[in-house]
Amino acid sequence: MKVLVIEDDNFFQHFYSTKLKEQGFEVAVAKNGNEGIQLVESFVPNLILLDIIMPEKNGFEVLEYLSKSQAFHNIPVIVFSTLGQENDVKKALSLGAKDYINKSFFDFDNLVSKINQYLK
Amino acid sequence: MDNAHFDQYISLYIKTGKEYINTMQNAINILMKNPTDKNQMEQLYIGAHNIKSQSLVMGFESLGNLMHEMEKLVKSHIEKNIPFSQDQLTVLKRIIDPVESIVVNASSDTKSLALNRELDTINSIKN
Repeated sequence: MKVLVIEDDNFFQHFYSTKLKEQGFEVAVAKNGNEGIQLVESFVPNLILLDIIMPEKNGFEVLEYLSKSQAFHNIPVIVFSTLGQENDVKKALSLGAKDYINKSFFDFDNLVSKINQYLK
Repeated sequence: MDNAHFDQYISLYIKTGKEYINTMQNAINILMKNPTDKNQMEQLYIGAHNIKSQSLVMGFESLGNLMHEMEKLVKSHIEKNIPFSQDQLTVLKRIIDPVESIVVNASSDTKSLALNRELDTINSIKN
């Protein structure tokens, strides 16, 4: 199964891509929203992990692109949140994200469980 | 984060944290000359946001909370289109410099660090 991680922070890019690959997922990483959209089109993931606050197109803009795309609007998206982003999460869910994961807490099992849930 | 993962990721935290600190210090220096530079305010915002997130997942709660307050302050200025005053930028610089030392020397001891004075300082420059 292919997971696209759209995340500008090198720490979390490395953390999530390494851990997901250990679980057997094929992983691609984009460091901003523009790159993320390019990889959606070329990598065609089964699921997207999406950060919200990023340079060069933020997570909301990526969600808006996906919702308008006939080809990609059904790809499930789980957004990353952190302390202080409660309103951002609500907005992301209203824009079509399926779920969120709080990256302030180290809870990788929960993330994998959610990924598997939305890949069914 | 458990000890095994902490040991595995502390070097990466220090490396990426230092990069964000450098970007933030550079942004403050540029803003001191041009307080309306929105790109630099964004750099400051993203830097504070990402150090916050990384610090919290590593268990550095005080540092994460301090960066959260800085993030909120910068976001408020961006959203309301208010440039920082020179006094505010001087204070931000005075907070970032010791934060740099904390980040580059991060260890399990950083989990118990208290940064109340720095938190009070950030709160003192909010509009």
